[in-house]
Amino acid sequence: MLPIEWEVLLLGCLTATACGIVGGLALLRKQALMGDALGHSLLAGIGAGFWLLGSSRSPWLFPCAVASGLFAIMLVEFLAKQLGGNQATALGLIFPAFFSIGIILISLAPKSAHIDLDRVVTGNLDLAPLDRLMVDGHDYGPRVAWSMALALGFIGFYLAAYWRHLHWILFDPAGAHAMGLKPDRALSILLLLTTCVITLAFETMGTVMVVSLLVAPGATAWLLSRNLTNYLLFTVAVSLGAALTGRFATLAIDASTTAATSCAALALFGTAFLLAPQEGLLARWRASIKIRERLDARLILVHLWHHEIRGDSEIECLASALTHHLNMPEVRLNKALNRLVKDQLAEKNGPLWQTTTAGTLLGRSLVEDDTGSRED
Amino acid sequence: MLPERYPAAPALDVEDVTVVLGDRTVLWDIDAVVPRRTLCAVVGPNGAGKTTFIRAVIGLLQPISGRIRIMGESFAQACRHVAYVPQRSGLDWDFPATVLDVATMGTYTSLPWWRPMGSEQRRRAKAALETVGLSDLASRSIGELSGGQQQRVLLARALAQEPELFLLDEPFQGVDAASEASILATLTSLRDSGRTVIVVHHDLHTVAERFDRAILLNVRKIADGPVSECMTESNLRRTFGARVGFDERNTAPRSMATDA
Amino acid sequence: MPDFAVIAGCALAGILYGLLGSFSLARNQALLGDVLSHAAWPGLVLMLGLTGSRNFAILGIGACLAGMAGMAILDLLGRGSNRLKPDARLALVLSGFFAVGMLLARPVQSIRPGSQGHLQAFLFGQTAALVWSDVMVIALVLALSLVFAASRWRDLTALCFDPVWRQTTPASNMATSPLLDTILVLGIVAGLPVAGVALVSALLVCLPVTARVLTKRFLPGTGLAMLLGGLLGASAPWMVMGLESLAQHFHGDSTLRLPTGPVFVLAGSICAAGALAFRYLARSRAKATGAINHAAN
Repeated sequence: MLPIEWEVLLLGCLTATACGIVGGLALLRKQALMGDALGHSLLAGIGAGFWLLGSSRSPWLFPCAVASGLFAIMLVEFLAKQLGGNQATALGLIFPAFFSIGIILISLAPKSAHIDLDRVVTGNLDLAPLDRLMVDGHDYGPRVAWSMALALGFIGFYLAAYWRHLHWILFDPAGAHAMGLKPDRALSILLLLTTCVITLAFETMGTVMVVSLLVAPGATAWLLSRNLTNYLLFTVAVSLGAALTGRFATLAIDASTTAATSCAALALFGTAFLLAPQEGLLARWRASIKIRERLDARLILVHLWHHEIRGDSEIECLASALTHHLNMPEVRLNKALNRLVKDQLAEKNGPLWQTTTAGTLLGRSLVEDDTGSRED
Repeated sequence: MLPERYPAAPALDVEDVTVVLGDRTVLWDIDAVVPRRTLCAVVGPNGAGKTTFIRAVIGLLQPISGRIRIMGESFAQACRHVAYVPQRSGLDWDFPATVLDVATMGTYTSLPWWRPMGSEQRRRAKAALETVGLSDLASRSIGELSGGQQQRVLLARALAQEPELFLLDEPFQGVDAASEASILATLTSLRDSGRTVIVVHHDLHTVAERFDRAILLNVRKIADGPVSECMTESNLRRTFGARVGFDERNTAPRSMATDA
Repeated sequence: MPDFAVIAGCALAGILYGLLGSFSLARNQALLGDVLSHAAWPGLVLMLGLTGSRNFAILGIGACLAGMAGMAILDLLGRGSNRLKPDARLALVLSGFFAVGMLLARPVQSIRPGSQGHLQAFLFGQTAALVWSDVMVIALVLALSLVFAASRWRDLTALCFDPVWRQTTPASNMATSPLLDTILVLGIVAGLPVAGVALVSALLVCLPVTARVLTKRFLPGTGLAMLLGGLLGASAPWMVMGLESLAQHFHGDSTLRLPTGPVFVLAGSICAAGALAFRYLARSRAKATGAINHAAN
C-alpha cells in the first residue's frame, strides 16, 4: 500500500502521460483546441447525469460525459460546414453552450448530489485518491488511477495496432483511404480514446488545466523532434517530467498540485521554446544574424555580377555609390565587402568593385539555383 | 487630392531591390522601370516572386536592399495616388457587406473621420460600379457574387480611390471569360485616360496582345520593356523553362554555392 | 425582483459584447476572447493578493495587465516559431495563464483569508456580487468603446474586411489595430463580474453570429448584436431568478444559487441556434423550390 503522497504522484504521472499522448496526436492533426472544447462540453453530460441518476458517484456518469463530449464535437463539425468552414466560430459557439447547460444543471441539482462548482474548472489532484477502488471490502488504491491505467493500456494497444500506418492516417487521411486503410475508423477510435482520457482527467485536472497537459508536451516535442517515434517519446518524457516537477514543487510551496503540474508542463515548453537547439528562439535568432550577414555579402556579389554582365558597372559598382544604389547603411555594406574580399569573391579595382572569377561563378549559380525552385 | 510633386518621374522605379522572406531570397537585385500611361504586366512562373514584388512595391514587405520610387516618391508619400487590388482568395467573402459598401470603401481615404459619407462619395462609388458593370447588383451581399463579380467589386473599390497608379495582384485567377474581358477593357481605358496599370499575370497570350509593357521575373529580373522587345522566345524560355540553364548550372562549382 | 444594479450591469455588458464581438468575429478571431479572459485570471488573483482590495476597479487593473501580457505572449509565440500552429498557441496561452492563476490562488487565499468566495465569483460571474461600482466600470468601458468605434468606424470596417488593402491606403491609422485589441482586453475584464472567466468570451461569439445571420451589412449587424446583447442582458437576471425558483419547486432547496454567466450565454446560444436553424431551413427551401423551377424549365 502506497502512502497518499505517492498515490498523488502516480496518478499525476498516469494522467499526464495519457493526456500527453492523445493531446500530442491531436496536435499533429491541428486540433489542439478540440481538447479544450471536449473538456468543457462533457460537463453537460455530467449535469444531465446528476439529474437522471441523482448521484455524483454513479459509474454511469462516465458514459454520459463521454456521450455529450462526442455529441458536441459532431455538432461542431456540422456547424463548421454551415458557417463556411469556420471551425473557430463553431467551437466558440458550441462548447460554451454545453458548458453553460452543465453548470446550470449542476447548480440547480439537489444539494445531496452537489459537487463544488469551482472544482469543475480547477480540478483537484490532491483529493482524487480519496475515491478508493473497493472490492469485497479490500482497498485496491485510487479508483481514478486504475481507470487511467486502463485507458493508457488502450492507448498503447491502439498505437501498436496502427503504428505502421499512423503517418498516413494522421497526415494524409485521403491518401490512407486510397491505400485501402480505414482512416475514418482509426480517427474515430482516437477521438473516442481522447474523450475518455479527458473525461477521466476531468476530476483531477478540471476543464481548463487539462488543456496544458494535452498541448504542452506535444508542442515541446514538436520543437525538439523531427520524426513520429521521437515525437511520441519526447511527449511522454515531457509529460512525466511535468508530473514529477509539479508534485515536488508543491512539497516546497503550498499550492494546488493540479496547477503546479500544469505550470510545470508549460515551463518545460517555455524552456524548449527559448533554448531548443534548432527551433528555439535563441538558436533562430543567432542563425538569423549569421544568415543576414551572409545574405548581405551575397546580395552585393549578385549586384556586382548583374551589372558586369549588363555592362553598366561604371555607374552601379562605384565604391562611392554602392551605398546609395543598394540603399544600405555604410556599416553593413563595409562589413559585407570585407567578407567578400576575405573569401576572394570580389576585389576593389580603382574606383570600382569587381567580382573575381570565383565570385562570377558564385553570383551566377546563386541566382540561377534559386530561379524556378522556390515557392511564393 | 494633392498634386504630385514630380510629374515627370516614372510611375514606378525599382532599383536593386532584394527581398528576403525568413532565410530565403525571394527576389534578387531587381531593377525595373514602368513609365506612366502604360499597361504593364508582371510575368513569371509560380514561385517567381511576382506577389512578393507587388507587396514590396506597396510597402507590405521591407526589402533588405535597394529602393522603390512611385512617381518619384516613397510609397508612404505617394500612397494617395496608388490603389492596390489584392488577390480575391485572400479575403473573407462572408463579411457582412453589400457590393456598394465595398466600392464605397475606396472613398474612405478622401474623408476625415468626423465627416459623414457625402453625396460626392456615393457618386464616386456608384460611378465605379457603373464602370465595372455591377450597378444592378449594388445592394447584393458580397457573399452571393461569382468569382468574376468579386474581382470586379475589388476593381470598383480601386476606381473609387481615383488613383494614378493601379496595382493588381492576379486579377484573372478563377475569373470567367466575360469578367476577364470586362476587366481588361476597364484597365485599357484607364491607360487611355492617362493612368498607369501594373498587373501580375501569367497568361502570356493576353499579355502579348493587350499589354504595352512587361516585366519578366523569375527570382531575378529576366527582362523588362515594351512587350514587342522583351517577350522574345529566349527571354520567355529563360523565365519559364527551368531546364534551359541546367547545363550551365552544373558547371558552377557546387561547394562554393553552398558554403560561401 | 433582481437588483437594478444587476439588470443595468448585465444589459450594459451585453451591449458591450455585441459591439466588440462584431469586430472579433469579422476578424475571424472568435477564440481570442476566450484566451484573453483566461489570461486575465492570474492578474486578478495577484492583485487580490497584493492589495487585499475587494474593489473591482482595482482588481481589474491587474486583470487588464495580465490580459495584455497574454496578448503579447501569443504574439511572441507566433513570431518565434513557425512550427507552432495558431490553435496550439491559443491553447498554450489559455491554459498556461489560467494555471499560473490557480497556482497563486492557494497562497493568496492563505494571506487574505475569506477571499476564496470572492475569487470564485469571477469564475462564473455572480450577480449577488455585482455592485454599482462594477456597473460604472462596465459603463465606462462601453462609453470608451462606443467613442472609439464611432470615431474610427470606417478604418475599423476596412481593418475587418481587408487588412492588407487597408495598409496601402493613406487613411489607415497605425494605432487602430492595437487600440482595438486593448479595448477588447478592457471589455473582457469589465465583463468578468457578469459572466466570469470561463464564459465571458462566449458572448463575444453568440451575439454577433446571431446578428450576422439575420443582417447583411456590417453597421446594422453590429447594431443588432448590441441590441440583442442589451435585451438578453437585461432579462438574464430574471431568467436566473425563474430557474432558481423552478429548482426550489422541484426539490424544496431554497439555498440554491445560480451564476448569471451560464444563463446569459445559454440564452445567447439559443438565439444563435435559432437564427442558424432559420437560415438553414430557408436555404434548403430555396434550394428545393429552385430545383422545382429548374425542373419546370
